[in-house]
Amino acid sequence: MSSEIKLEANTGRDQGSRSSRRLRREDKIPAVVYGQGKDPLPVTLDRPKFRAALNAAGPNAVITLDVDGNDCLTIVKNMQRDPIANRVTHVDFMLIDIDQRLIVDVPITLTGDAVLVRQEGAVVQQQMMTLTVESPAGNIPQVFEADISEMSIENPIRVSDLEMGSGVVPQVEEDSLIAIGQRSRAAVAAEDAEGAEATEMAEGEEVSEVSTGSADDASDDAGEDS
Amino acid sequence: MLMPRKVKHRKTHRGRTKGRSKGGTTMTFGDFGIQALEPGWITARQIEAARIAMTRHVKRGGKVWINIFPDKPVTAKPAETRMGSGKGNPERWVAVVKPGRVMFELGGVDAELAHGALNRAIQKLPIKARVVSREEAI
Repeated sequence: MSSEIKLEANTGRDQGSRSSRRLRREDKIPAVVYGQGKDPLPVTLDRPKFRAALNAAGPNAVITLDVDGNDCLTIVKNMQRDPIANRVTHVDFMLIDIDQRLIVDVPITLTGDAVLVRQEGAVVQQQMMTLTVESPAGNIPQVFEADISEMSIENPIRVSDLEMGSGVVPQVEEDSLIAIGQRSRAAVAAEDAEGAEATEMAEGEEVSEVSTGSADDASDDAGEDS
Repeated sequence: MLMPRKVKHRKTHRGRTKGRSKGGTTMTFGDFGIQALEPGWITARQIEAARIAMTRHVKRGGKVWINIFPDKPVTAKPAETRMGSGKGNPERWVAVVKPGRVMFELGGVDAELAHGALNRAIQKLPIKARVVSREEAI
């Protein structure tokens, strides 16, 4: 579950792209605090402290922002990143009440080794990366772990297989897929080619001894296909 | 090779490639991907070469996603032709790529194998690119 962390935020920053760029150059992050009917408040964060806090507590952590001496309970509502440098360029904080129920996206991670899927010549494909849940603010799960060690192509992992905490309600249907075992086209084509070769061999024994190289060609082509 | 089935106009202007990619900058399907660091035109042949390099390295297993599509025709005049007499004939198809774009994705394989495959694919591309993974640092 999410842990509570404290961060210092300074008000009184200039708004606009030029001043925001200057702040980023000084290793600070421009941010905004809003919610609960209050006016949006532009603030500035220290990048190293913010990074350390979020790396430790996860993206859905409840953060106590110290805005010029006043403590505000917030969560990170949105985070903008530079796609190349992968740096956070702006953060939206939403003011919350600890008893409030929130709708948040919680990341899903797969644990274990999908032995059954591998034996069937397939790969595990994660269909859902985050799960939208409604949860009490003080009890937001940091991550959902889905065990794929007993999963097979016929038995994919669904939302109903996840362990929800108390008061956590998923916002999608229970039978929505999280991870499936999918066979690649190359594996399917190779098996088809092997099947065709076996059939030809059986027919060749009964009817005549004419052999063709088509099955071998087909498997070579299939090897190049994804 | 990838190419459109039909197009509205057979020949297009070259255009300019300014700025960074507006979308497609995050991993959507796989666990690892190739992100462009420069703008450029990726031809259908290069996309195919990169795909083959990846699939051969991972052998059987793994799944490849190609997030770019070569929908821009590039014309060329025949060799030893005098200048003038109009624009050349469409010769190849390219995808216009801007920095930040995740062009290829790979899933279902471990990190070491994925890095090997994606680095081989990068060698087939005409622009600087890097391998990115879903696990991103803040």
